[in-house]
Amino acid sequence: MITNIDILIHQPIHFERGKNYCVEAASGIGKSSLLHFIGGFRTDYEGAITIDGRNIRAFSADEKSALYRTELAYMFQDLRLFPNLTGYENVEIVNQQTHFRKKEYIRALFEQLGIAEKWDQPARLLSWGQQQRVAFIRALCQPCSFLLLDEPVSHLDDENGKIMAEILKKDQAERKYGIIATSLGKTLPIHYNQHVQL
Amino acid sequence: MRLIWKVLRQNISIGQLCGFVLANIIGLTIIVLGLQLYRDIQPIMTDKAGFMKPDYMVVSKNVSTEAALFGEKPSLSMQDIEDIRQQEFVSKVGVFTSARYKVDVTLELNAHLFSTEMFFESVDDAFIDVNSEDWTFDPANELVPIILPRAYLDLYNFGYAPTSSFPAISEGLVNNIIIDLELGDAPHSIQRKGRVVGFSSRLNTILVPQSFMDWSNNLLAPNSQADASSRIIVQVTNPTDERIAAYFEAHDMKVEGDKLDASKAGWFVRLLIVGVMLIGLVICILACYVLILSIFLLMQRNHEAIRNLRAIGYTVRKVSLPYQLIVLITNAVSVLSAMGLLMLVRNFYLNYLTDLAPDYAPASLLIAWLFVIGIGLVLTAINAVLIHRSIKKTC
Repeated sequence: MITNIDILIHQPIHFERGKNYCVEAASGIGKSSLLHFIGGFRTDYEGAITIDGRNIRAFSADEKSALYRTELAYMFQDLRLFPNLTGYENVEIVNQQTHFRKKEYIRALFEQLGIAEKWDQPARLLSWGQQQRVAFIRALCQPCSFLLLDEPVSHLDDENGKIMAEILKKDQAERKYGIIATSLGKTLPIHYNQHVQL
Repeated sequence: MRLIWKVLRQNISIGQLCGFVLANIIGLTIIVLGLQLYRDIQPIMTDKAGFMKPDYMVVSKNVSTEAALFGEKPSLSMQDIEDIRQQEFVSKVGVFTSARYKVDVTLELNAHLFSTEMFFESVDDAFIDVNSEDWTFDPANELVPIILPRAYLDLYNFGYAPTSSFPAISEGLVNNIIIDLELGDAPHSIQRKGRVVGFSSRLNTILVPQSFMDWSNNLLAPNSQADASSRIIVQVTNPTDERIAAYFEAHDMKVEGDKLDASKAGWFVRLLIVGVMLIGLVICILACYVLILSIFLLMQRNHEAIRNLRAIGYTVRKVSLPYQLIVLITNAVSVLSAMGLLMLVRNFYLNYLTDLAPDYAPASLLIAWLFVIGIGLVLTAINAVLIHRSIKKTC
């Protein structure tokens, strides 16, 4: 289980498990890049990112897979859903690796977020906002120490943003993971322990 | 696995895969057919079917114009003979012994007297293709058995006799003719009676028993040195061995008659089969190149899906597996089809081989099976590794 993420690029940034961080910057400054650097998806930076003291660059391919499966849950800005899979299948393709959530739980989340009717529809037929909610459910359906949310409510109305925040608060209270969320003005309405300005 | 397959099966081109399978089947069939054909004709080429027997070859040095002009004798040295004896394709070597004295022959046939000078040679009995109880010599007995080349009898019967109004003579009749022999120079010459006891198809010389040759040389030319052998007879284990023709050519030796034809034909058949197998291999390599290009193109089209699967925790092994299964299945189909085609074509040519040599027993298919399965596995493994590497780079 990961407890700390330290970043030494231009300025030292320290992320701690169980706490919430909001990364803020103007468009194009590097919020999404920062999240990609943390998971080792990108390595085009100078400096060091360490997870529990170990440089992410030193992780092998299999170690990174294990990291994405059980430690770092991502909700990417570009969502990364599979267009030909249905709403449910897009969640299940993550869940089937660890069998972390039951199908009933997933269905309940679809209903809470108002996309129950999208359960059997291919993702390519969903609006961006609906896809954003599917991607959010998918991120909740894997065990993790940190949940990384890249502009999670950018295409959601305030009501859905609040529902998402409520689900998140409840889930975090049970699982104690840390949240690193980026924001371009519209912020996920949860309590943040620290606002990180890039 | 079902969901991963659903994600990754997009963009698969059935046409490309069918093209690969077809090309691979052709390539593999040619390779395995070449191999099996080679193995199937081996018993015939190596006499296991009783078709091609160990053969005898009479070997001598080539007579060059320069040697003829300067009177050099085209003889084989002891070193030459020993070297030939050491060759793997040689089972026995026999050295001809020449008479070191003059031989005059007189015979009466149909009231005509024939008289001529001639020569004797001898060789170990193991090389003589005439079985006769009379093929012995006793110094106390004045009768000397002689073996003539069958060609001489044919030459007389079909060449000389018809044009000279002489009757044709049979082998049996010749056997009853007694020949007067005068051996050596007067006044030390000795008289003996000669009798033809058989005709040789193998040896183109006038043969007397080795025991007589040793005795007469000792008696009539005790002080003359034995000449170096001008000819030897070699028994080869497999006349189709391509090394035979190559060896004698390299050592400036010639073989009487057309005995080297089998060796040259054997070499040609092997060359042909290796050539055909190489063509099959090239087709196979090209087919595999097409497959890996198709798979890489497929992975390129599915790049986003692969990247996203990796981003949600799927290992390289799990993402590679569907593509590796495609390769495995297409190669398995190719291998099985090549095996089936081999059986079909083989049944066709085996009929001809059985007609050629009734005792012929075809080679086992096991090696061909193992070979084609081996090729299939190697190609699958190479593709699998390339796929794994490519997926690993996608993140």
